[in-house]
Amino acid sequence: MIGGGVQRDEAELIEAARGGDADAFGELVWRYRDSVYTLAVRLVGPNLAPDVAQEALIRAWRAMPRFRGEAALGTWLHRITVNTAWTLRKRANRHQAQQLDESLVDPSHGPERAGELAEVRAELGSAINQLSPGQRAVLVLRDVYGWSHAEVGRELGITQTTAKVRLHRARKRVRAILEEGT
Amino acid sequence: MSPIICRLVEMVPSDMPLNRVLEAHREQCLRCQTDAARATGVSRELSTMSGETLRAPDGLATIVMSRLPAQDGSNPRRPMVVRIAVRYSVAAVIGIATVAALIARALSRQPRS
Repeated sequence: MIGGGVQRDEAELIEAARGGDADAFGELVWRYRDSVYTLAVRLVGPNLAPDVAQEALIRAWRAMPRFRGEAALGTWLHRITVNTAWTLRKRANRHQAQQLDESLVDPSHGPERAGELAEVRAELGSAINQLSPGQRAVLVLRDVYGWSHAEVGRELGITQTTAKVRLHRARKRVRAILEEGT
Repeated sequence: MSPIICRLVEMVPSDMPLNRVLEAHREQCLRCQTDAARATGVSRELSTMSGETLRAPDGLATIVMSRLPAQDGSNPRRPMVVRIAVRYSVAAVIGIATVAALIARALSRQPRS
């Protein structure tokens, strides 16, 4: 994290990583691992998320020479994570039914800090986990991460209209699940 | 208010515009307004999740760093691109085969002179 007592600038790290500097990439991994892991959990659940995060970061390393900085590194990593999640989920489904759940709220983050909020988020997380993979991906990318329909469509390989319809169904389903629980 | 119109309003994705009839209905219908407010509430709650970051498992970074292969500049989205290409190729093949079958059928029905 620290190079010569000074935190290295991200642009500098990216440039070094693009040139094959594994240490620089390691620093970037350290900075972005939680963000990548969080997205992976929301897309595929906690069981498969570590594999998705690992694979996404390894793919990112391999692809670093292609990274031109048109998008922020975090955005680029999220795109790779979405793609990796899609691939690994399909692979996992071939071998075993995906195990759903547990809470999206990490207990180590201190539920006492905001018990009520954590409860709402846990309910939301549980509701998200009950969606189909396609609905879940659209809902997470659009409503949680604020991606545009165009971005969602492009990354998931669907049309914008399909993305909108899928989102609508996902929102309805989440609402229904939340209402059932109350 | 007509429950059928309420159902129609409900079926339109919130990011798509309602036509004039449905829009006018929603402006007057408490049920539709409540429904829209609930939908907005859930979306707002979902958006709050974006500020929440889960802690990656210990050792994730170490595992990644120990498994780094050679950089090859490969496209990390390639599986997606290939999937889309395959989908369109299959659709194209089915389309061409259907057209060919229809043409062949039409030709075979033509009376020979």
